[in-house]
Amino acid sequence: MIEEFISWFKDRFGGDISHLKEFFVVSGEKRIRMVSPESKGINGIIKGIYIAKKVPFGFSLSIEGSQILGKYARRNVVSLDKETALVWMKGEDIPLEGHAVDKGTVIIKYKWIFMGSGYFDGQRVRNYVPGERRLE
Amino acid sequence: MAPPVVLNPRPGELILDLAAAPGSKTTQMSEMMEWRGTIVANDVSPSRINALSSNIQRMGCMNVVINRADGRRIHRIYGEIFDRVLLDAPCSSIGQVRRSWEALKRWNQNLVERISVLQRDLAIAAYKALKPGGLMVYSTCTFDPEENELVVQSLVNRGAEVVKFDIPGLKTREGLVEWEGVKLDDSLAYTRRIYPHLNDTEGFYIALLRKVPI
Ligand SMILES: C[S@@+](CC[C@H](N)C(=O)[O-])C[C@H]1O[C@@H](n2cnc3c(N)ncnc32)[C@H](O)[C@@H]1O
Repeated sequence: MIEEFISWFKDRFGGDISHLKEFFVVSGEKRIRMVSPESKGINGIIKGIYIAKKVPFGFSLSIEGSQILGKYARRNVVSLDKETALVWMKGEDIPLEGHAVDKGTVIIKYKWIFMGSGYFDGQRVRNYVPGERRLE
Repeated sequence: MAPPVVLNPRPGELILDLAAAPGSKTTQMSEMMEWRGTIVANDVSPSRINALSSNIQRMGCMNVVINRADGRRIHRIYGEIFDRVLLDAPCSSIGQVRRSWEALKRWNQNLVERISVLQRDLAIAAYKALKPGGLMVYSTCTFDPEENELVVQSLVNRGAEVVKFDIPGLKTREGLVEWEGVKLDDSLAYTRRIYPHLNDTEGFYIALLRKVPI
């Protein structure tokens, strides 16, 4: 699944993250986490941080996944203005017109701040910000 | 916060944070280590581990491994492998009284006595989990000597060396070397009491120890 994730990222966002391969580990059936290489062999119940999940149309990125990997993305990144960024962080879907993005996973950002990912269905970006991270 | 600064974990090292939740010091140490090496962040409380794990995630601490165990057994789980250990012990919290009136209402001598037994057992397990030559910080947010100097004295009795340190920019007082007529090791003066009025902070106690190779 790690090779699949690296090549999906390249196809989707045009960025090469293969140099980070030694940090990626598969967790359960669907998740990818980032873990320092030294930590892989150490006993524990949770290791490192969750960055991506396999979904039917590829992968989705967690907020931290977008923050770590977003700088490698060359396309399918949606930059929001401040007002829309706040709407995004409240967990709402964002209608999208005039952005050059393809259907599928997009990375959301405001200025230099990456704010997770969503699914662009051709009209709107479905919001993946998890409930506990949304603004009231 | 001061205890991680005193422990000074370095990138690539193997660190134990024995009573870690909710992780304010774990995340600080993770950054000091530039997210390299490993911190085993242990706690016994499932609900506090939930808070710990969301803080680790939010702060991007990819060099943290969370473990749930009674800290008194930690050396049996991992052996003597850690370069440095932080024991930020559960305590009667009287140093937080300026922030939390509850801390004063909860405080009584019984609590101190009960908790000091737990602290001593945790401190011994933490010390055992160190590599020979490794460093350990013992910290609390309270002032009772039973929870501080007397716990550290029990490690000195097992051969630990108390190490002198300064915290730049922070006014501190020496640890006690006598309590209720009982003389403690002179090196306990190297431990530090940080009273609330000294720096306009909460109050706490910090000791730095080295495991002397046998
Ligand atoms: C002072 S708090 C730690 C604060 C934490 N170091 C921080 O900076 O965020 C003490 C912690 O000790 C934990 N604790 C209590 N008894 C324990 C035991 N037997 N083993 C491990 N952890 C224990 C509590 O659940 C609590 O989270």
